[in-house]
Amino acid sequence: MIEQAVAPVPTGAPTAEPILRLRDLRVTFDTVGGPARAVRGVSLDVFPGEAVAVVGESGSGKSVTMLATLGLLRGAAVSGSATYRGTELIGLAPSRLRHVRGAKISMVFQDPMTSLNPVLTVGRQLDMVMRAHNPDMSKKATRARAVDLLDQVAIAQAARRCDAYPHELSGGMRQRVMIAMAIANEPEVLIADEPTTALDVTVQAQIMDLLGRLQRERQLSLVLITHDLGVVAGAADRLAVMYAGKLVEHGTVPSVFAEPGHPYTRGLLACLPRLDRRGEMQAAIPGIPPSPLSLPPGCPFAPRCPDAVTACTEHEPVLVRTATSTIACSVHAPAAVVR
Amino acid sequence: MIDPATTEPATSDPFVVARPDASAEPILSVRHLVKEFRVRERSRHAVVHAVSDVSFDVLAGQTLALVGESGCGKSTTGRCILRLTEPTSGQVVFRGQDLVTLGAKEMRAARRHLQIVFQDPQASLHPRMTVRRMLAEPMKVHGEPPDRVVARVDELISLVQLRPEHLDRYPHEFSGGQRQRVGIARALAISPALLVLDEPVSALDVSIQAEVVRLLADLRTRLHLAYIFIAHDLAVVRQIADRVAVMYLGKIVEIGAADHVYDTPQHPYTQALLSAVPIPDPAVQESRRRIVLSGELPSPIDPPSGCRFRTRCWRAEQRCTDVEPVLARTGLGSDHQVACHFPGDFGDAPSHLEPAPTFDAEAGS
Repeated sequence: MIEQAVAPVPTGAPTAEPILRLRDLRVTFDTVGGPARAVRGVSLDVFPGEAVAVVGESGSGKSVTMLATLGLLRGAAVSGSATYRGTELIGLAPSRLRHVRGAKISMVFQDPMTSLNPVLTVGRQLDMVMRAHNPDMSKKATRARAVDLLDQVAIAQAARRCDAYPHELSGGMRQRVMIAMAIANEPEVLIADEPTTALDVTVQAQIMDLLGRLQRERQLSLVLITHDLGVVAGAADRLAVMYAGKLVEHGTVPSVFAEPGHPYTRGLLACLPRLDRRGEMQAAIPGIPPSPLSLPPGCPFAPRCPDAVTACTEHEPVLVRTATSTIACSVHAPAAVVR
Repeated sequence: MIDPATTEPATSDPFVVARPDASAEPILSVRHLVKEFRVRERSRHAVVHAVSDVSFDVLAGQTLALVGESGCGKSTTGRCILRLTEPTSGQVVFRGQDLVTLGAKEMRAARRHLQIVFQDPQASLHPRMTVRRMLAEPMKVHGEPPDRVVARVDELISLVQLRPEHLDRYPHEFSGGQRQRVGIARALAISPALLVLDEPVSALDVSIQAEVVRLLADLRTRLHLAYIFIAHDLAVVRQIADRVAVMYLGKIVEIGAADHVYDTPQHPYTQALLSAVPIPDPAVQESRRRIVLSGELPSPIDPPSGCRFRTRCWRAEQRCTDVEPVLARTGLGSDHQVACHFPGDFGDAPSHLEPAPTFDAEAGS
């Protein structure tokens, strides 16, 4: 489908050139059950120094979108475009992609235990990350920098922890090590995939605080992939909501939280329990998300949508800008007929 | 925010919380519960102090939430109540009878009245049993007559809002939320008076959590059940708890009516914990006061002397190292108690804490 109504530069976005630009990104996995269309045409801009949250439930395609951008998906058909400062990343030769990945754009994963090598010390792993991009660095230099990095992510006794193995560290400390690795080569974009989901709430607060500080100090662009709208409220400037492999709404955090436009976003926000209120927990979204193997015709959310009309099952809606955000919904934002 | 004093209780709303009733008898009283695990650490013997001298009451028809972070002892406490984990010492008095002293046979009979629902319904349901067999099993164990079992199974499935045709399906045919309903139905099969709910919605997606919490609230009212609701998600707990006990390193640091604990927390740890929970509202989130704790949770093998939170506390003084604080009334509510030498509102809290001087000695080993 052609972008009909809007360029996906959202309401209230910074005016600079985007540093990361996704256009009609599509990812299809070949499975025994047939092609699974995990990402179905995502267009998104990430501007310098901003924090963008990509929100959705399990299976919405939020992680796959970012993994495809970095060429980290094997055996998937990826089409569309993802450019970093004008360089096309999709289809880029692995040797050239490696200069971008881990250096200009780096990623922090959800589970720090499975993403760290259990048989190498923290210092050795940091050393490898640095020397992959700066082969001329001496061991002495990488060691000094490793200690400095651990210090920056607020690990006490950094020199000693440099010689520790991952199992000797707590979950929160491991995630700090992951963040140290991600910033080791001074990237411009940091993609954090559910960085706090496996952590306790006070540790989660520590990690989000750290990410926020690094983002401000280094003018990083942060892409925060999460299912937790609470985390989004405190950490992101803009958010993009995904459902069944598509963006269904994006806009600035204050406006989307104040006036969610898409019925799915409304449902998500309505069913969230709040610490500061009692008795408002609603089962707002009946049913379960569709399988990427057999998507319903028309709008993928229509079978669960309280506002759905017949037309919703006939045409898949396109993103249309409203007064407060940009949504893909034929009921709340009918596309202007452009012919 | 809902003011409990001005809100008219409407019986149709399952979230209306029963007022703490002075005349209500506790159905369960836990006294001085201790659980220690012997472990080997670097080829020497050590003791993990998982639960250290925990006491609380659960009133009939009410929900007590045990909250805290990983390793605080909340799940171990729940398991000790049912003696799925054998307590090291202490009493668990259920309707006047100390469960800890019971023999295996008597304990099995007592479990008729106390049941548990586990976090992961995928792991706690038998993959090769139909729902019908699973719901009948506890009744057979407790010697229900077969004709009664058949009728009760039908009752149970509608009680948890599933359909009769679900009875002949296997666990893998259900979604996560439906599986947890089966787990709840199984726990209810023998009409217990008290359910221990160990992280009952943590494994579920947010939109499904709401359904299950509503179901639990509804069942509590209809069946006059008492719950011990063990959870780390404080926003979910707020929706269902009458009373809340906050645990840290094996001890209760604060306990009281949910509104008191949430709105006027007195223990520094409760304040830090609550302030760390993100609120999905950017306006609120920006203006609220947050405390980011420094350092790491000390090891339960070698907990700090005195107050166990002192190594991360901004109010800590010498006394906190020397003297262990005990739970004492705060004067804010009839049963609001806090274990702190310097309880108080959290106006004094710095938003960022410098590591306490003892931090490395505690966490570095």
